[in-house]
Formats: sequence, structure tokens, C-alpha cells
Amino acid sequence: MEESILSSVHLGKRGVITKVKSGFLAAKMADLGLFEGNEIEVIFKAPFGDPLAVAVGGTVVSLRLEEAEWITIAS
Amino acid sequence: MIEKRIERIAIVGNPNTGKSTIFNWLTGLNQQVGNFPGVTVDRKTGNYQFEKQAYEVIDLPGTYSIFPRSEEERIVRDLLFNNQDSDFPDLVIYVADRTQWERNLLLFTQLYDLGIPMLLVKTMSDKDALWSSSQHPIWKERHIPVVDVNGRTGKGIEQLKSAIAQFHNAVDLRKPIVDGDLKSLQGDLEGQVANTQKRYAWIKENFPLKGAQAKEQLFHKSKWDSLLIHPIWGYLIFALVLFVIFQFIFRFASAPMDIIDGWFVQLSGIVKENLPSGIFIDLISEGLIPGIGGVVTFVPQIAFLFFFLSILEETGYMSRVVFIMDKLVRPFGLNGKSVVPLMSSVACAIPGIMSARTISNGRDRLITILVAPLMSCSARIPVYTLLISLVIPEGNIWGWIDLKGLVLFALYALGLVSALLMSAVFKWILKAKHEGFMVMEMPSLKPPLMRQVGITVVEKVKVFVVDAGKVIIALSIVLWAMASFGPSERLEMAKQNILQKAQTESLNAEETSSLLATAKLENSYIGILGRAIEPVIAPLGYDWKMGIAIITSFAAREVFVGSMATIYSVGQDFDDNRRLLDRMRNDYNEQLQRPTYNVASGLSLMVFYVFAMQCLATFAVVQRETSSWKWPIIQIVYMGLLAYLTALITYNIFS
Repeated sequence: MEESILSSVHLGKRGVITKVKSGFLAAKMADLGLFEGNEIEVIFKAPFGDPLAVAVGGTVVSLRLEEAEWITIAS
Repeated sequence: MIEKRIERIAIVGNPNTGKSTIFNWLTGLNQQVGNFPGVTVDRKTGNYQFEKQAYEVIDLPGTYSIFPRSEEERIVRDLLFNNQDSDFPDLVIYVADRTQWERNLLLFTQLYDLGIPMLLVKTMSDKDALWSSSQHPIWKERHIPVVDVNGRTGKGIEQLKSAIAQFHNAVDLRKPIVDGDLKSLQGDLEGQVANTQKRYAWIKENFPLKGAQAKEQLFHKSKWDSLLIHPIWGYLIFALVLFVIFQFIFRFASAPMDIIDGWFVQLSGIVKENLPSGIFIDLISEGLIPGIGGVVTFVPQIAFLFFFLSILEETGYMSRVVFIMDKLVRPFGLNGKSVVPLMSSVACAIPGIMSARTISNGRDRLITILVAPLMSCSARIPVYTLLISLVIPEGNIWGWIDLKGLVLFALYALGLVSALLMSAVFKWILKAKHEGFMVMEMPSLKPPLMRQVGITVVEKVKVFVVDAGKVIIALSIVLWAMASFGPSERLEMAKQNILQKAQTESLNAEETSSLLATAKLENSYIGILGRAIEPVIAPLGYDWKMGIAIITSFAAREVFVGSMATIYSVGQDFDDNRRLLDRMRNDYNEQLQRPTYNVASGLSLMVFYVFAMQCLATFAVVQRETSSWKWPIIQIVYMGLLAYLTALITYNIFS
């Protein structure tokens, strides 16, 4: 199992969230389904690579690169 | 126990679930939009009748969780936590999209555990295949009535109405979905995350996705999206969309605007001719009617722009624009959501500022509102064209760039660049409580619901006419009074001089009356003010006539041309434009030994109009949208200072 920070993975990467740094952002992300144990896939990257969009729980969530740094995924 | 009859209903749900569609199906056009007290978040209420009973409906802002992450969510939390609140509902209609079950049910489980009387509405856009004859047994176990509604066709609305009428409160029978007190978790972020995870687990356990459905639902990716956010095609498509919108606005909004303008001119003429003259009638014909006209002429532009903006919003395209533009505008203190409001301001800052409501981050929204009027709007065009034809010589640069066209382009570019730079300045000045986040849902693409678009247009026009209209009319009456009254002795003397001159030079009636209009404006309070500010504006290369035109055109930029026509005693018809140009061109400033309008003073005036906030309607809209007088006043002052300084620099460079 290989762990990586969400902001550094390439397009099309699929994995399970293993960690979200705690704080206000983590709470917001949890509301949208981005929490430990949930499966996600990076499905879009904006031109210049930022923001990026992930599929989670049947919907798509976009987030800035600096926000994606809060999330670690394992694949 | 006698149950209280359901009278007040609140519609609650995540954003992009078809919540507003349900609201619109229930209430039709019987709705009012206001603000929640103290904040600028839309408070939409409406009502309907069913089986001779009246129901009041409130459409609460889209919310993901009972733990608020934004101003909108805080309002929903505060309301649902406080059963003493006058808006507190007897029943919540919880709207969830069947295709986004997992996320949409989170808030549902929270409200369920809070003991709020609820009815579940499943929307599923067009996918009637998902329409189920029987509902999941869990809803019966949990005493939650469920109704399927198709937002597009309105199928199911009647069933919803009767389900509301027959609603039985079974809150006492509820067993919590997740144990624990939600209210006590309000300050505990980690506790919130843990609680939310348990809720998601419950949803997944009870509504597991099966096989192929699971795969498709989890990783669906639209082909259109690859195009809309493509590094080249994405921007080209956005440029094309803007191009089409502006084509429509300039082609189709200007005709009705001229017609409306004409009506009001006619109307005040009729009033003047048919009623006895006097101050009161003048107030109506020259103050009130043009004031109302000044509000109504904006309607076609606002309606057209919101027609397109709500299509962009409805289809989900707006969030693609936000996605591809966010990185580009971030260095300037803006976020991707500021882009469309700013681009709209190229047509007119009013709808631009009104559409900034979609920016959830308070500071980014304020910055967008503050800089939006710097984008060159269509009202500047008459001013620019007049001044460009006046002072910019015919000619080319490198044989193919038209000089006049280049100047016009430079003025637009100056507006855009300064809007971006000022955003950066405001970002630096306005320290945020916490940096905004851009973690947000990207709704799937879908065809627009025209009914929904129509209702949005009507609602936005209503807000502008009713709310901003009051301020606009009041201020235009003040401007009218200043332009019509002056010290009576002085006015009388000027009038006598003209009449004498008319006699000795045997002028015809038309010439006399335009000379009289000139004398009246020159000796009114505005005229006196225009002369008084001459020393202040002389360094910019202006004389008192331009001073008067600048003050009068505070009503709206294009008034500049009309005021010039009055000052130079020519009519205001289109044919008179040539005469106005001639008179202005021949105006010679004896003191400075140069034509009043030369390249330096002309350019300085144009630059002044790039920056100065010469628009009552914008002022009124900013007042409404920020619910304060502070911000519109700060805006007028900063734009005025910027205008003065840049005009000063321009004049000195070119003279």
C-alpha cells in the first residue's frame, strides 16, 4: 500500500482516504464526504493543475491544491 | 392530543438538489425575496393554497450540515435550533436528489435526530426510471412520509401538497440514528467529524450501492466536462459564451432601453404640456418621471444578463468556469466565483454586483462588489465616443491600427487592469477572519429548466426596481432640484439678458429656448457648484462647463452627453450630435490659449470616466447588497480619488 498526499497525485488516481489533517477544513471536507475510509478518485485537474476535482460518494468535489494537501490517500 | 395544523413550511436540503424548483412549483410567482436580518443572504418566502388551507413556505439556503461552515448554513442552524424564531417551521420538507443519496441524506439524519418534523422529497431530475412504486421500508419504520417529485415536469407536486396536508407528527416515536447530542458538538470540530462519519456509515449500510450502479455512481465522468475544463477548449468556450451573451445584450437590450427612454421623455412632455406649470408639476415632469425612467431603463439589461447567468448557473456550467478561472484570479485576491460577476459588469455593473451573491466567502464577495464598477460598462460608451471623436485625430499606427479604436481599447483595458489591481489592494487592506476555502461541490451538467430561469429573472428585476429604485429616485430628485433651482435674482437676471439678446439679434423661438436652458443650468445650484469646483478641477485641464457635466452625470455616466448639449445650447436629438461636436471643438479657452478640448484635456476626461463612480443605480445596488451605507460611500470616495489622480497624471503627460 502506497500513501501519498492528495495534492501530489496524478489525474485518474484512485484510493482510500487514510488521513485528513484536523481543523475547520477537515470538518467542511467531512460534510462533503471527504473523511478517513472513503474511496475517492481524482477525475479533473484545472489548467495549471489547480484546483482539482475528486469523485466521492457519487458526486464531484473540487478543491484547491493547498486544500488537497490536508488529505492523504492510500492506493 | 390535538395536533397543530401545519401552516409554516421550510424547504431544506443540500445545494443543487432541486430545492428551489420544489419551492417554485409550490408557490409559483407568489413569492418575495428579502434578506435575513443583518446579513445579505436571500430570504425567499411564498405561499400557496391547498384544499382551502393557506400555507406559508420559506426556502432556506442550501445546506450540507447542521454544523455551519458558511453564513448561509449558520442561518439555517440558528433557525432550526430556535423554536421561538418567528420563521420556525411546523414542518420541514427535506429535498434530496436520488442520484446523490449519500451526501444528501447527511443533513437529513441530523435533522431527524434533532426531532424536527419532516417529510422527505426525492427529486431525480429526468430519471423517471428511478421512480419507484414502493418506497424503501426504512422510511415507514422511521415514520417519514416520502414523496417523489420530478422537478422538470412538476409530476408529484399534488401528492406532495396532500402529503403535507395529511402530515402526522410522529417525532415522539423516533429512535436516534446516531446517539449523542448534536447541540453540544457545536464547538467541537473533531467530534463533528466523528459524528458525521457515523452518519455516512448508517447511510451506506441502509442504502448500499449495488454492482454496476456503484461503479458508475462513484466515478462518473462526463465527456462534456473534459471539453469544458480543457486547458485550451475550456477558455475558448468560456470566451465564446461571453461573446454570445454580450452580442445578445448589445443587440437586443439597447432597443428596448431606447424605447423605454423615449416613453419617459414623452410622458414628461405630456405632463408638462397638459398640466398648469408650477414647481409641483416640474417636480413630477422633470424630477420624478425621469427618475423612474432612470430605474426602468436598466430593466432590459438586467433581465437579459440574469437570463443568461441563471442558465449558466442552472446547467452547472458556472462551476466549470469557477474551476478553470480560480487559479488565474487568485493572485489578485479574487476567487473563481468573482469572474462571472466581473465579466457581467462589462455590460452593466448592476447585475454584476447583484450576481456576486453566489460568492460565499464574505471578503471575496465584498472585494468583487467594490471593484466591479471599474470594469468599463456600456454607459461609458457614449462618453468615450463623444470625447474620442472630439480630440483623437484620424490616423493609424504602423499603418493598420486605428488610433481611435486603440484609445477605446486602452480605456477598456485600463478598467480591467485597475479592477484587478484594486482587488489586490483591498485583499491587503481587508484582513479576513479566516482565509476562505474553495472546497465545493461540482454539480453534474444538465439542461436548464426554463421555468426556473424565468422566475429568477422576474425576481432579480423586482429586487432592483423595488429596493434600489427607491434610492435612485430619491437621489435623482435631489439632482433635479439642484439643476433647476438657483438664487432667484441671479436666474432672473440671466433670463432677462437672454431675452434682450434674442430681441436684438432677432433669434427664433428654438434658439431662444435652448439659450434659456443653458442660462438656467449655468445659474442653478449645480451650475454654481460647477463653477465653484473649477479651481479643484483646473489642474486636470477642465473648465467649469466640464465641472457641471461631471456633477450632473453622477446620476448616470451617459448624462454627460445630454448635459454638454444643454451647456452648448444644442438639442439632444441624434442629429444634434454633430452640432454639439462642432460647438465643443470650437470652444476656445482664452485663459489657457488653447482649445478647451484638446488631446490632453480630452484624454484626462476619458480617464476620469474610467475610474469615477458616476452611477446612482450602482450606488443604490451596492447599498442594498452590502446592507450598509459605509461600503458604497467608501467606493465612491476611492474611485473618485483614483479618477482625480489618474486624470491629473494623464493631463500632465499629454500637455
